[in-house]
Amino acid sequence: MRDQRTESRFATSLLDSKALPTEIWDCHGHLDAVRYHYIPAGGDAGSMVAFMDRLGVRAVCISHHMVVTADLQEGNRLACEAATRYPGRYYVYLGYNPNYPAEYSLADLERHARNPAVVGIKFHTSTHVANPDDPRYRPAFEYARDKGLVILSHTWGTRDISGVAKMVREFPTVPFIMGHSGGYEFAAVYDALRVARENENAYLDLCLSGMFDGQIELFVKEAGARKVLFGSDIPFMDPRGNLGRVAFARIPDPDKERILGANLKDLLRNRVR
Amino acid sequence: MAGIRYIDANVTLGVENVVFQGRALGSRNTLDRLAECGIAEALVAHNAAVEGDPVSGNGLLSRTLGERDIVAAGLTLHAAWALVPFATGEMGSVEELRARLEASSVRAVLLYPEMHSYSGAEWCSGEVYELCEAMRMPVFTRLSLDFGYDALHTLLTNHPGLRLVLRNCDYRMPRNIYRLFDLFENLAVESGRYSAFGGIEDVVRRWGPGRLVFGSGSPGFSAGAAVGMVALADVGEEARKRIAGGNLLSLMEGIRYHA
Repeated sequence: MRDQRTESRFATSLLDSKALPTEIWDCHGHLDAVRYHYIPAGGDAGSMVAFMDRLGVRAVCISHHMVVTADLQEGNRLACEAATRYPGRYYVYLGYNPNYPAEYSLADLERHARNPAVVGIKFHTSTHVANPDDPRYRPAFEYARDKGLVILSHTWGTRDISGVAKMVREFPTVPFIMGHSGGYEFAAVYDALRVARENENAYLDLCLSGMFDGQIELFVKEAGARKVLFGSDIPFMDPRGNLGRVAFARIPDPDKERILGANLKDLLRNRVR
Repeated sequence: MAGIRYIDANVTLGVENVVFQGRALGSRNTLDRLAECGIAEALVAHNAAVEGDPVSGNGLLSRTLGERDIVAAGLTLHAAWALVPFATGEMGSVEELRARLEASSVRAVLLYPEMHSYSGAEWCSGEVYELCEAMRMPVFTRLSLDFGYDALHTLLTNHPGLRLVLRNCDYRMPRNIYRLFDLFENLAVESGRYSAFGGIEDVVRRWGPGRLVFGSGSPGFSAGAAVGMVALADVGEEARKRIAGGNLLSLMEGIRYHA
């Protein structure tokens, strides 16, 4: 059979069962156990760091599972504790729940504001049942703007993306990462792509269990590689599938390097080591 | 290049109804994509047999496999057919189907009750299971609203010799699939979307590498993603080789068209 393998050093590394030849920064991770399913490798901070070391993942930006499911304050506390224990390996999105009074959620942001690992705020539109343009999120947008923080939001479906479209225009200085880039619904993904293309502060992440072929290529072609961030949902899901999807994507190797790490480092520029 | 031979258990020729914008379409493009991802061999069905009519779709697969462009792609391809229960007569008789499976060198059967509107329970699909069990024909199926874990448990209980591989696996499966692995030696899962964190290592540690079959879901899902899951698994090279292709080869080589 004619060898049609791409000349990409990323693809070649994988076919040799080796880690990818770049420092990886993951924009979308979590921590510890979750109610939905068993996590075989364990989601604790130490187990994850060992895994990250083996695969060349320099750092993961995390929100604790609890901030999106159960206990905002405990989740934020545990995430910051992990980041302090493993400096430079974890950066933190503090959770913000719009169902609570603003002063309650804002107080928790303030509680951890001086932790140097805090880089952003996490929304979860599905578990918190609120679209990104829900007025109850406004205080979080204002806080992010005033403190120079990034927002990462779970985005699932066209309704979420239309909410993002509105808010990124209203808060153009707040970098907004569309977690899952709209999800499984193709129309939502195309909408997310348009939002990223039209708004300097809007970004796409690759975090998804249904890893569609052609998605990375379309994102790069239409929005530019600079707008695409590697995100894995670790430990909720295993990152190695999405690493493979990037490695074998039909895009130049420099774009793969940007997606796997450089873009996130640029985005967090003043906050990461 | 290291000596890992990836044999993909889940590839569809033809073009699906709904495709991701900008993706290159067509069977040859699908095969070229596999080759780019280091996959030299695959078990293939035709999309027309899954999203369309199984009978004509299986026939279209046979024709497609003989097309010059497909042969020229240079991959080794094995046929997988979608079947439906015998009651309607669409499959012919049991012996007629057996003969056709042999004549077309079919190496696996796909059963999609939710797509083809039948029950996967014994009363409806039992004869299909019996035939596949007797032939040692590997069966690929997936869970759905109508065919869940309880139905899977019943099927495996009734057919301990049926070699079953579950498709469309995901990170939510361990709490059910681990118990099923304990109970049934004849169950395996496709690795491609089995994205539980550390899931592949944990399955290998508990039950050995024989429970995982490399399958990508191409062309809709990324073959590169599926390769990544196995290539980067911390399981040792012998286990990796079995998952990447050895297990599927064992399944296909064990077929007896005449029991």
